Formats: sequence, structure tokens, C-alpha cells
Amino acid sequence: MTDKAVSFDDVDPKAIQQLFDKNPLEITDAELHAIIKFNRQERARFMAEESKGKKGRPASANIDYTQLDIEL
Amino acid sequence: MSESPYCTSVPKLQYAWDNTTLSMFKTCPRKYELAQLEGWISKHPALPLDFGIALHDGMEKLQRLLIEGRNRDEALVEAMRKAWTSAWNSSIKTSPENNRTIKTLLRTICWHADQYVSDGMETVRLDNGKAAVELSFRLELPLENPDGGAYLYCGHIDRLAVYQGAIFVVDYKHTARAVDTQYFAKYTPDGQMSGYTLAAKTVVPGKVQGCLVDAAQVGVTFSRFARGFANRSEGQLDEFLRDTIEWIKYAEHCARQQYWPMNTESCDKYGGCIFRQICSKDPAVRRTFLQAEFNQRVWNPLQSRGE
Repeated sequence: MTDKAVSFDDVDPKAIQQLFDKNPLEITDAELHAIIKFNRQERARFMAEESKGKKGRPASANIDYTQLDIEL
Repeated sequence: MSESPYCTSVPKLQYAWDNTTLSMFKTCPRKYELAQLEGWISKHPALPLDFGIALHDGMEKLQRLLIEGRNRDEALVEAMRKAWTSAWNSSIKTSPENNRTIKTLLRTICWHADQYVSDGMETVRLDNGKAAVELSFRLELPLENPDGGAYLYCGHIDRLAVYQGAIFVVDYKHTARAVDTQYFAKYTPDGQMSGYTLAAKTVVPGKVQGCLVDAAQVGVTFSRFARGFANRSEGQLDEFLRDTIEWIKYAEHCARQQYWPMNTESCDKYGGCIFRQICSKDPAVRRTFLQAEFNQRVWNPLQSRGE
């Protein structure tokens, strides 16, 4: 398969999911870029949900390390 | 042929120790005898360990390429390919867990890179121009082994990075639980972080502040990140060094006696020791059960890592 054989302009989640069953030696750069794009979309969605409190983030999670009691 | 970590004059005594073997010995000398000296490992794949190795492979590749000047997405492509290859040859490929899969592995590398794209932390560049990632070290301890040389304390540092003018040993961790204050508390006191700090201070005297635990909580549908410091004072490092020497002296005693006692206080810790079912049987039949239920492998603290 060449890098141009698959287009992921719309980053179809089902198509991405199928990639994870492939041998990494057969994965093209285009497919990896598509996975990156997919992950960025997923991250943006997750962060939007977190900001609305939908994921139920624990109050103590995601601490900012600059707020810890440390000496730099 | 790889270098042996054992003494010639006392064959079951390690002169080269790392946190894995020393921690195992502290937990239970009998567990150390079975797992390290005899090499018994569970036949069931260690999914968390495999996931951690694949994640480290990807992160190491990413940092190496970034310091070479590659753009972030090009570096990410190569890092993901490296992690994927590592995962493909491990238990992750057929993972029974939903949160440790190839998909969550690649997502964690991607999200981590995007979250910390401009975190003000720079990987140390070594004199040879390469990134200071996956650095294998050997420290000579002030204690002579029976062969006449010094005992060694060995390990592998994930990354040395500069943050706000100080150098930190960055150690990647992943967990299924929340990466909160309670999670980071377990790294102080902690032998691995103390050992890393001691090693880094020896290599870069006066500039190393301590360790920075770069933790990822890997869930089924998300990866969440946090960083926590595990700093060590000079007094704490002196104490760690003295404690390490005392533990090694005890290991030498066990090796000379050819007897590694069972620490029954550890049998129930961390979900139960993998050898609990073996140790619960009569000593005369344990070997038969070991051969039936375990495989054997060799763990060598002197094995180097990195490219």
C-alpha cells in the first residue's frame, strides 16, 4: 500500500480503528498522520467535555506541578 | 555474550545491582531467589510492564528526533511507529484490557506531545550532540565485593531535562488510577528516584535538583497527564547510599549462607506475591510446581539501553 492509497480527510473513527489491527511494518506515514489527526480531534473533544465537567474529573487530578510545595 | 552481574567467587551474589533487583530483595529474599537468581517468571504476560516498555520506546524516540530538529508531527510519526512495533511483539497485541491497547498507547504519546509542546522543559544535549534520553548508568559504591572490585548500582534514566535553570531526571510512568497528590506521594521515599538522583548528581555535579515524575493516567477513552517532583536533599541521598550498602551486605550474607529467607509480611502486598502458591506448598514439592506454572528468563542490570 502506498501513502496515497488511503485518504483520511474526514478521519473516520471506524477506519482508524481498523488500522490498529495492522502490522506496524505495513502502516504508512499517511495512516500515522491520520491517527495523529484523529487523536487531536479526540483530545479536543475530551478537553471540551472536561471543561463542562462531563467526565467527572476528580478534584485532585491534573495538578499543576508549579503549585506543589517544591524548591526550584 | 553479556557481562555477568554475579561475583565469580560467590556465584549467587550480585556485584551489579539495580532498583528492580534490590527492591525485590528488600520485599522478600525468597522472592528474589526465585525470580532473580533462578529466573522464574509468570507464564501470564505482564501487560502493564509491556505497555510501559512500549510507551518508553515511543517517548524516547520522540525526544531524540525533536532534539535533532525534526518537526513535531514527523517525530510523532516515527515515535508512534516505534511504540507500535514494540507493542506488536508483546502482550499488548492481544490485550484483554480496554485501557492498555495499541490505540490507547498511540493516543497517550500523541496527547502527551500536544499537552507539553511548550512546557519550558528542554532535554539536555550530551557532549556528543545526542539527546540525554535512555541513559544507562553504573555507579561504583563504596563497598568492596568478594572478587575485589566495587559493588555497582546500575539503572536507566529516561530523560535529563532542564527546567527553570535546574536539571531534573524525568521518569515516565503510566497508571490506570488518577495521577493526583496521593499518586506522587509514593515516590518519596522511593529507592528508584533516590538512585536516579544520586546517579545524575554524580554525572552533572551541583546542577541536578531531583526527579520529575511525568505520569500518564491511561483510561479507555482518555489519557490524562500530571507531573510531580521527587526532590532529594544531600542528607537523604547519604541515607539512601548507606541503606543500599547495608542491604547489599545482607544480600552477601544470604549468598554466603546459600539461604534467602521468606518474608511472610510481603506475601499479601500489591495484590499478592506471584510465588505465594509456590511458597504455600511443602519445600520438597515446590520445584515441580515451579516448573509446571512458571517460565524462566534472565534479568541483567548491566544490560544497556538506548540507541
